[in-house]
Amino acid sequence: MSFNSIHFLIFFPVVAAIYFILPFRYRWIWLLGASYYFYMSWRPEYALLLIISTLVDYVAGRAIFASRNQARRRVFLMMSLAANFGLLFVFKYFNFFNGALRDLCAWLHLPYAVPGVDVLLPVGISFYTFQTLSYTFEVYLGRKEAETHLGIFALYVVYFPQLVAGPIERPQRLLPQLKQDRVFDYDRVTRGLRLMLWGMFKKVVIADRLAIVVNQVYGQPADYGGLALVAGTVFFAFQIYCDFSGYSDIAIGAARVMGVHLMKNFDRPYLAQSIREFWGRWHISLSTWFRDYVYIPLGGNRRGFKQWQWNILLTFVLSGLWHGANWTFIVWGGLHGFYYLVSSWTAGFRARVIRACRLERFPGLLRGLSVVTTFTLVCLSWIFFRADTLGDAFFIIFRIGQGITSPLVFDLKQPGYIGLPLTEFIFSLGLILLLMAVQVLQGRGPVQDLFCRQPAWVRWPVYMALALIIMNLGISEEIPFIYFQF
Amino acid sequence: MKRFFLKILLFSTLVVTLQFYMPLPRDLQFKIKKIDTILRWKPDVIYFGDSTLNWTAPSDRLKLSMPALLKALLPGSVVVKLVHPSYQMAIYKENLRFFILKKYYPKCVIFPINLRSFSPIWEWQPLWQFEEEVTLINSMLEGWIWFYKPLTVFKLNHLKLTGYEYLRKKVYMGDKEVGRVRDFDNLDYFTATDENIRRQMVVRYMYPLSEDHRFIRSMLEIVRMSKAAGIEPVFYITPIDFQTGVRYVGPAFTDQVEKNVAFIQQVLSAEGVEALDLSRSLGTKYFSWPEDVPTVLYPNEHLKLRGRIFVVENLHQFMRLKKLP
Repeated sequence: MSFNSIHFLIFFPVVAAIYFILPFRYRWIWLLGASYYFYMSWRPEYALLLIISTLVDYVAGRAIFASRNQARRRVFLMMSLAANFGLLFVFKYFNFFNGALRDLCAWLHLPYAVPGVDVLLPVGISFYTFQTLSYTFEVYLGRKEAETHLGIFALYVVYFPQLVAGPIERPQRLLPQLKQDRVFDYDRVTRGLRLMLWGMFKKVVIADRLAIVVNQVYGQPADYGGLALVAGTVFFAFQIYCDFSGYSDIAIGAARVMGVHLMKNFDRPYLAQSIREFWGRWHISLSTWFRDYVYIPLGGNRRGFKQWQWNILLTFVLSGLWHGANWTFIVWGGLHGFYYLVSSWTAGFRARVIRACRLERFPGLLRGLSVVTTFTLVCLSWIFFRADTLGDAFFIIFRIGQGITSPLVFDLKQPGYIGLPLTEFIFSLGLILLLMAVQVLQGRGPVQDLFCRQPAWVRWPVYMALALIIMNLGISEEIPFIYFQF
Repeated sequence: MKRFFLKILLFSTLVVTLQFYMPLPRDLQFKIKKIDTILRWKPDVIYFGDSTLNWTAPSDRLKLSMPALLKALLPGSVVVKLVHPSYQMAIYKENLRFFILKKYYPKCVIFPINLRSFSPIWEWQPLWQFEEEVTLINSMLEGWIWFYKPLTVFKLNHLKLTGYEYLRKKVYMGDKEVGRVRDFDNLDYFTATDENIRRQMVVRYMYPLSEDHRFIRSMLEIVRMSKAAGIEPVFYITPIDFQTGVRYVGPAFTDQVEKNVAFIQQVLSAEGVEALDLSRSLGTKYFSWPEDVPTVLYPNEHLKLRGRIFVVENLHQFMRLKKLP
């Protein structure tokens, strides 16, 4: 079930209302049933994977927690890793690695006859496997006791607001909240609903509108000149942001209505002044997951500069691979790792250049330059993320490199049509500006708090305008949430 | 909690009320206009169809569509075409249902039966399901057009069929399963070998028809609806390039396509409707596809002017025998 569906618009109020009506001791059962229904409305048979993941990690967690024998603890950790990564491998990565191996064998003139598997990628598999794994890791590292209540643990795995696209929660944060009694709190519920409204606006009005241009341009990149490809790439940067952060806002808002505080997943990433800062603001739940369970166990920065560089690169490449079984994602991750390293190598040099140019006297200008540079680098990496193949990505970069003087075509009947007429294109640019303006304001203080302090005659027209804009200027075409595919 | 529910109720009421004052989106206005025009003109004959109706070959001296040619043969009647980007019997049925419920009864409705479009690679193509138009028609009939846009934003017309399911649809050669749709990738100029062209012919023509086929069910509903409303439905089976079919697939091509034609005729005659069979009446030289290479690399039902004239003359003759329109 997608958040931007009628199905969800009916499902959520019913679930939330009954949740508050039910006595506390039955609420987890209700939420567990609702969460399974939420997932099974997509493809019922794949609920079996959720059950497997839940049972394996429940058993592994309890066994690890109960045992003092390190070897035995490790065996159960391995069991959990094998089960979760096994699911991921079969459903997400097998065909990719199998294809790569087949190509390699063909290149070496060796026989290779392992067929691919014909399976549909289960929605959200990368999210819920990572969430259950974080539980097992935390128990193994002794930072969390094992959960004894199977029902509550199952709810931790399938909690519907964040089941299919995160945020990837940690057990210390989510499990205790699922056990707490929550009364109906007017302020909390309205805050949750406001966030959901804003998230919906970002998804159906901004992201889906920008997607029209992106899909058009990236569908046939050879038909477009440099400027159209730049526009497509910048639009994609905002599309993916609004799509994913919109989803996260709805998820966080829905959970908040029911009294659960999910972690923040985005913090105005396109205002980051460096790649390092960008990763502290983009998909925070995933980047902290990789930091805690990959980068730090690899040694982090404690084993010398050379090892640190490998750790960074490997972490970013794995993070790229997490997104999808395609070379484009691996290059995307690797590119971010490379940016990270280059920024570290050149830190001294850049500081000297800033001093030499006396830029420190203009902190606003310096900040602006840093933001623009970071955004440009991020956009360059998005080309790999969005392109269908590496060949397409390199072609787009090459075409942009040839120049951006070719005009944009807004006439449907002309070759090279960008996907939207001029008025819609300008409207899309306006939406991007609005989004950035809101983000700049957020940097100066919590916008929601400021807004909530306004009288009802200010707030209500804004709510109504947002609702009517969503209803009338939202995009009807089927454009699934991008992160559903991961 | 009570205060909250009252506020939500008030908010929803205000939003719903304001929605009545929202202008309809331009694309929606265009779609409605298309249907309204037909209602306003009240034509005697509606000619439903797909690109085969409008297609003209590069060598055609007269670029006239088949409905235009028919119009020339029926000078006293108003003939309009209702063409969709692809063949879909279900959307024809929905359009007809709309006209009938709006109490407009043309004298006759014409439906080509393009057998290539009954194949799984065509029938199940997600792009050609026209769910959006079906929802629009329902909203116009049921009086909730003002909520059509918001409801489609929230995926009321959500496509049930996914690309994944489409690609997994079975492909048959007669009774034998020969693969899935995904195994029959479309051709480009560089992959158009004889074997690949043969495979395209197999996936498009060699399926066996049965009463469960969605298009057959829609076709029968069209017949029943039309008859109940006193409208005469005219069906004709479009010419098929048998010469090329046999060249690539062999005699089995003729056997299977003839079986399908016979099946259609049998199903329609059981409802008391005779279908005009033009399937074997034209040779390759009447088809436009050889002129459309490299855009089109295997046969389809697009005709040259001579072919279109042949179809329309036969159709006209057929209608005259039935005293139509």
